[in-house]
Amino acid sequence: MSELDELEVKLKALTEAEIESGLDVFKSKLREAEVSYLNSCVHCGLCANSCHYNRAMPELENVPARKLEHIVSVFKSKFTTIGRIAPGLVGARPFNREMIRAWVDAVFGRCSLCGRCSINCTIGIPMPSLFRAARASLASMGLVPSDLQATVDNSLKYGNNMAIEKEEWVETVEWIEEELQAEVEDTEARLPLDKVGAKYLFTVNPREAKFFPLSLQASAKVFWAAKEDWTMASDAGWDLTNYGIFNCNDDQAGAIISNLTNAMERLKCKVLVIGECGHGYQSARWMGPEWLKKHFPYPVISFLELMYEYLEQGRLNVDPNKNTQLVTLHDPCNLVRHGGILEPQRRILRRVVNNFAEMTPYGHENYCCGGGGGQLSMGKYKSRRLKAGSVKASQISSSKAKIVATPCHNCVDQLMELNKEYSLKIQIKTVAELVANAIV
Amino acid sequence: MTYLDVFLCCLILATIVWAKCGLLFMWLRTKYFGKRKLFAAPAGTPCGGAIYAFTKGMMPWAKESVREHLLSYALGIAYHAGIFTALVVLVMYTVGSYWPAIRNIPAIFIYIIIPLLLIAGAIGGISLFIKRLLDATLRGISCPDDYISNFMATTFTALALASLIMQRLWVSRLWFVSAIILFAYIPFSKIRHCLFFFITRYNFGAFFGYRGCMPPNRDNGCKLF
Repeated sequence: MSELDELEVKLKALTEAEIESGLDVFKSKLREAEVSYLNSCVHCGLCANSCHYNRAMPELENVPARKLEHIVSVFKSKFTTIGRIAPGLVGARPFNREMIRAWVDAVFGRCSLCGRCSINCTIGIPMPSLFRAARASLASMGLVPSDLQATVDNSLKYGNNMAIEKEEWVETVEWIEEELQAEVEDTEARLPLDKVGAKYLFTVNPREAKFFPLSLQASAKVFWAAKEDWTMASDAGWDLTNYGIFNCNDDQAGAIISNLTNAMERLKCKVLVIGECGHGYQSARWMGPEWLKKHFPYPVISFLELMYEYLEQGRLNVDPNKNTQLVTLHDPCNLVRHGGILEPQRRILRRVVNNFAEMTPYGHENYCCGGGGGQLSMGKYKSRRLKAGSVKASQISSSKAKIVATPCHNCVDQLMELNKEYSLKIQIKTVAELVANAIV
Repeated sequence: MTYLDVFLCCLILATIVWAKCGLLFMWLRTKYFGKRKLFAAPAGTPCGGAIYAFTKGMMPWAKESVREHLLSYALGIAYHAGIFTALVVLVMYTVGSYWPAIRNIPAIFIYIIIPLLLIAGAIGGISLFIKRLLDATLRGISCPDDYISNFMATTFTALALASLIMQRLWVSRLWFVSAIILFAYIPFSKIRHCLFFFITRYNFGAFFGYRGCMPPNRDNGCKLF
């Protein structure tokens, strides 16, 4: 059965009680701030071109204000007096199957939750927070695209989103350790597992173990060169990803983030280090404490901050001439716009490569690559994702760079697909890979 | 002032009170949803983010959406300036005779600055109305209220200008009627953004300020630990 048919079957099977309960979940996600956002859109339309979907495919359904309007119209219909008295006047519409279909299409199919529309909104409406509330409502009705939900289910079952068994993970780490020892010619170079009391608990994206072992080796080389006291978990607690941030089921997201907090407690580490991953950083640093409703008694930092600290403290000797090709930087939305990590990555790159150029625009204005918001795991929207990525492809082409550095493995995956789709002829690397290459 | 004018002034006052009560009611309804308690350790300050959101973050060069639509932005600014000027003129007209200080306003304001602002406001309002009619995207995201709200506020601004220039009683009375309708309509319309703009913008800035994303500067994420 195709994904579209699957959605129709699920929609048909929904009972009125389930729809009402979905609406209750939506309401439960709203607080004072979100309700003020829902009351604020003036339909000025200036947000339209801030969205990479609309820029690549100009059509009404890709305009952020239109996506928002699907949600606002339900809010007006259910929760405002005028929406109940004169729905036609203010565009209030009922929460029925047709509207639910529109919600699925808007918040799962046409949005990567990148937040670029928020900073370009005349009023300043943080739209992703409302799209998340809508996704949570859809999740409660079982309408999360099945492949996205499968990724979450993997994390819940295996402790990582790629269903890697413990033995396979440990063997991979041991193999990378041997590779590192051969590279740095030091048999003491380690990728320590389960070292109780280590200063840093380092977490990685499972794609590193499965497809990009050189990324993990590069990070390990940085730790080795800085003579750091660090470790990784052998069991649940090594995977930094959390697709609960995308299906917006807070209970599932909380259960996944608990893998990290439990590992911190078990191993008695002092700082939780999130490897190069945008959504992983936002999940652990910003959303995790909210999902678990507790303060984390230790700092949660990005590996970028740590590498920058090493460079500042002179703990890494680097030679930028080891990286001579023109490098540009892709800023992951979750890390920069939503995470506040704007500068370390560029300061690092300016020290470890001898030819660095920013994209236009960059930083908090940077375009999403198109792989965020769980888009990479939703096969049904693949063609839209690749078309929406044409904006990023064009940015990369204009930069003339041969290497695109990005501190995020989801971005790496999407950029690799864009590289193929748009014949960009570039290499995609993480920041740690460039740092590791520059270490002397 | 005739009895009719006094009656109109009383109606204006009553609809202002109505509009304020309506907005207050809506604000209290948002308060009912409660504040979100935050558990993540802050990386910046909500206050710093909010200040940025209301200052540098609103500058034309701070947003691509404005840089790419400078004319719309300028028309919007002119429109809002015109509406606020019309409100000031309304105060002058209605309570001016009981408020001597108003009679001392320099002539340059009465004869040049205020009319210019009202003209700009009316042009802004009409232009944005036409843009909404002609632009397919804007039409697609619009509901009847978008047109009605614009029409009412533009009419109110244009009649303020006409009253000032023509100095005819019937024009002023027409203007008063437009003000009454406008104020009465506010709680039902998107004009409620006159309140929610400030609340949303504050929350937007505070949210990103807390995370250290705003203001965006060269120290974001570079605090050594």
